[in-house]
Amino acid sequence: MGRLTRRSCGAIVTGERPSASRPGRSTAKTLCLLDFRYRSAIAIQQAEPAVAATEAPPDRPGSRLLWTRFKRDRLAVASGIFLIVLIASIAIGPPVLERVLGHGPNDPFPYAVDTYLKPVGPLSRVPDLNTSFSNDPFDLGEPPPGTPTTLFVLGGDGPLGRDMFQRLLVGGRISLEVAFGASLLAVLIGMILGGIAGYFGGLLDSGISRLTDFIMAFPLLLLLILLGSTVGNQLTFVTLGGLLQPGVVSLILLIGLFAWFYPARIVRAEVAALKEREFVESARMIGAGEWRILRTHIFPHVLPVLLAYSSFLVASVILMEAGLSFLNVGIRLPTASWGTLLTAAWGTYRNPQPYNPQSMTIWMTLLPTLAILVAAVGWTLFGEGVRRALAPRTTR
Amino acid sequence: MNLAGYVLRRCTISIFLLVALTFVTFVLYDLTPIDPACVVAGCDIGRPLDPEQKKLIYEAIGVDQPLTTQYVDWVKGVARGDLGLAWQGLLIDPDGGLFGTSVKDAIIPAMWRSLSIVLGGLVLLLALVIPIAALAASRPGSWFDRVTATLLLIGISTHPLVVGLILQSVSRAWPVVPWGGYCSIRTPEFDGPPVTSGAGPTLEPCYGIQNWAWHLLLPWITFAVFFAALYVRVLRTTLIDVLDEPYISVARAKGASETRVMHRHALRNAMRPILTMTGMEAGMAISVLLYIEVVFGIPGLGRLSLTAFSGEVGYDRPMILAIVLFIGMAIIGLNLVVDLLYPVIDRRVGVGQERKRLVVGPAA
Repeated sequence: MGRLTRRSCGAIVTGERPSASRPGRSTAKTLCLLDFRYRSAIAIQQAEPAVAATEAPPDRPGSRLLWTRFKRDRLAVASGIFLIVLIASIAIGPPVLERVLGHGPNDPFPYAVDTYLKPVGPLSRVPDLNTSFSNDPFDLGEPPPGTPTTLFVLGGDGPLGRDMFQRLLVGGRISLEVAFGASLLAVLIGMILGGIAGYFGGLLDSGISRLTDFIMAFPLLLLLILLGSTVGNQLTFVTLGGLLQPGVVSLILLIGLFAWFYPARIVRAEVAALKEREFVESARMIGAGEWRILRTHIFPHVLPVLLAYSSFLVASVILMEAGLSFLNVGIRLPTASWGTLLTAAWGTYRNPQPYNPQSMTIWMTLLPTLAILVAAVGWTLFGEGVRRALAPRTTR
Repeated sequence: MNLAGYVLRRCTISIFLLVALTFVTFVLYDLTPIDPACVVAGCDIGRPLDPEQKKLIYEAIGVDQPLTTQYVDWVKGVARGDLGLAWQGLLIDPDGGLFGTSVKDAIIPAMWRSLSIVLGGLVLLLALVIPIAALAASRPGSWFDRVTATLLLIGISTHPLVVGLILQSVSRAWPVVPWGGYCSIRTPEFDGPPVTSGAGPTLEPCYGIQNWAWHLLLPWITFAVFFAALYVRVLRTTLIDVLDEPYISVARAKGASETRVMHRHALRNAMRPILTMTGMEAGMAISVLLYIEVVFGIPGLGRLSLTAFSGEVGYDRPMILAIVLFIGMAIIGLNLVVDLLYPVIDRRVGVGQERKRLVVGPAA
């Protein structure tokens, strides 16, 4: 038996072909309640304005069905594995690499750049020396024979000649910290406000909805730049006792406080649809309080939807961090993040480096860009997998 | 509702909105701890301005007046078409005369540059989106559809910065297309001196429509690629829905060719969500513009707002207000155009009918 959507349900009620029904434009809202245990469809037709009929269908699969569907989706599973590898390599990669390769992410190697300060390309071996053997600043001089060499897996990162691969991993840690922190903050605020708006409705609902409408139409980036360059400066050195790098907390707060509108809208739509369901009615009938209904009956249904959305959000915060750091209002140099690594090639906005083909390689721009792209694609594919498992029919 | 009345009513509402927006900016500026005298004369940490001098500057730029008076003066100026002088680099004569950069002269050329990025990008976007979506929707589940679906997921998770930097670094390595800078369409005398920027390769004066388009090719591609994924996705889903409708069967039964069915019947009716999205993405387009202008070194509205809002040259109030006003007008104007276009593409919709709002994709 196929899953009944509001659309096919409307067709049953009106006796039409499913494709001929127009759910968005009909004046009668068709509410379809499907009881899986008795395999019977009960259709109730209510006179309602057309707008309400366009909301998401509230029937969602349970967690076990969700997992079964997710497992069948090869792309989703691949992206899940990729994310585990990404997080693991960022967490344990730098110390392991430091031991294996013998140099750290912040060690400069004068021999990793040539006389025009052009860094070496990927997979090159560099004399393992931190000083040069010459007093002439324009000529390093030959390293003494028999000097041990060290491997630069992805080449050097810029004029200072540091290991790009290690800096990418260390920078990835900062980027992911910001992404997780800001997404968590945004989802928490969105869940609370969206839940209140959707469940209690009325004046609260219209107030919160108008606020999100208004702010979503405004170019938020400008506001972020303004706040980042004034308030953000004061928060830069809040590190929670050395747990996080400078700048991370201020970026988490800045992005998180302006990214909760989308989760709030999604939670609001879900909760508003769920509270009409019969199990909420039953819970209310046996005397459950509002808080208990929200917590134990509605919240578990919203969670998978939020999981899918949070994954998209992590992807977009990774991109946003890179953008803001690139514009010099996010993470500041010398801390490495994927955004600040880009500035090694390009310069910061305040201090742009004119392009000099003798001192720049394509890798300096391409590698951090690809790291950002690959991480964001991984999170998007994962979120898409969860979304597809939630509502397999909508993707077609 | 008749058209003229509707436009008039919308314009009246817009004016109130703009007044509210700029007034909020005024108040917010007043609340931030910025000393206007420092913006004008520059304050070093060890060498504060002397109170006498400060007083002179305050009087000259009018910040000694109460806030409401200042605001009313500003609105009067705007009504005359005068956006004031930028505070940065302002010279004050002993007898009270002011000499400085006119905000209007800075913002209007910048606006044209930004507009040429957006309009060209929009044309390229439609040229890219419509064929791809039509091809994918005409055979859902085909290999083309599946390949585009995967590419779209990658496209959705890009950032203008990522696209722009990849394009730029590739064109730097193999110089076929210029990788930055801006050439004005008109002759240089009219549009100010030929513009070269820190990142642009155009060191000699360049103008004319050919140079203009050639230099804007990469920015247009960046703009189009960033929005294309989202638009293809929405258009494809809508098209699949529309192609299920009975009037499509009727058109086919009458013997219309598939091309005609797609062009005359399906695409026309599927354009509505695209139009809605265009109206909603205006704020996003400003952010995209900002990154494109920074990467490709184009001195447009995005870069102007970046310098103004990041305090690059001091928080210059007349400049910030003018930018807020222009961006507000652009967003409101675009939404008005979108609302007026609904009845044109879909005859069943009357002028000024409420449109369906939709939320798509992650917030970038």
